[in-house]
Amino acid sequence: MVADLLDEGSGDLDSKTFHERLDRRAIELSFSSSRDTFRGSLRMLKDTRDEAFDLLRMALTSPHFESVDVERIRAQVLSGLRRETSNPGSLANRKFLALAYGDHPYGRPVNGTLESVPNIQGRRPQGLRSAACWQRIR
Amino acid sequence: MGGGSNSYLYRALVIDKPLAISTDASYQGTALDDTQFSISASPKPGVEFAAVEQAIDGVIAELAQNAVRAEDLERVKTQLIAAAIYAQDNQASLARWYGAALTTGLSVDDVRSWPDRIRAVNPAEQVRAAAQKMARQEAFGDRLPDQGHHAKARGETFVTLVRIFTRRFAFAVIACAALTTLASTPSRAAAKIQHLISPGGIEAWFVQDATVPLIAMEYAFRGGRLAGSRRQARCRQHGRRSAR
Repeated sequence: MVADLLDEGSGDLDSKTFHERLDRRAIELSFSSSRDTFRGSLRMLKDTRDEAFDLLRMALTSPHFESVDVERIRAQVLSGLRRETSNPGSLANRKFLALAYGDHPYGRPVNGTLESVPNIQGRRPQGLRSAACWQRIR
Repeated sequence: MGGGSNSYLYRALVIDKPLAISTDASYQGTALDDTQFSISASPKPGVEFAAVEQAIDGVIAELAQNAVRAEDLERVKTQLIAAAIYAQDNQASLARWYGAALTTGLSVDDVRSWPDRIRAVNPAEQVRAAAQKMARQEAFGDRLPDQGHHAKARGETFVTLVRIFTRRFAFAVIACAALTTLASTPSRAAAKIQHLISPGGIEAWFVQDATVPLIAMEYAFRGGRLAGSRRQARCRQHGRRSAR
């Protein structure tokens, strides 16, 4: 959820304005989470370099996590999880990970579960450490 | 209409009215026969198809009646033109662009001049005409249950609504593999990888390629699922490419 929320408004830009700024210059910014890493990707035409890195900095250092955006993304994550409940491949994968890794974090689904996602609380979901990491990059 | 969270469909159905989880619109431009312009939306649990369908019709009607906003058109044109450049960053998509064009009767020049034709699109006329045509056309749709029986058992009506604006569509056989060779450039093969370490200990790998005017960066922090079980996440950055 954090990966999906980082581009939903930050700094002095709300979600809509942030996406408009990205789209207007065809800047591609995305984040994802896997078992070992939290990943980010940024792609831009070279002329839009300054704006692209500005937006990346804002996404990493001052994301909003406004409740209306959190709820919209939560609904999308839950929708994906519900969809997985009728997909044999997803079900088998989930079962395999649980059997193979047991209580180890690898055994838990990266996107959360239908039970855990509704209970994520607060404007700043736990586990966000990218801002701290970004300070080091700068 | 449907590209990303600034699109008219996403604004109308996901942001303004809480009817759908996601929306999409797409067009398959390279085909031999009539092709398809498809619109899809995943309704929120409990929302009726009729309400979603009505909202989609509303978006189409709005486009057909009113001139598209100049800044919206500029944004989309920029994205389409950028897509032609971004495609050069990926051998597979570059080959697919040429492969799809050549197997459906287009030429290499058609592909190369496509950005210029996008630049020349006239907002008031062409976009509205396309929307009017779509509004008149008899759409047929399909409602795809993607929850199976599990969802119904829980009393949820979560399905994906797909509307397809065409009677027939053709499949183009795409010969991309052979074109990969054609698309590759000698300078790319000779690209040097630079390994850099910042004063803070961050490792980065840069590949410079002077042929494509874009910059792409990928980075990863140690964390993810494992972060939940660790007190402190350590940072690591993997820079990928800096092309000018």
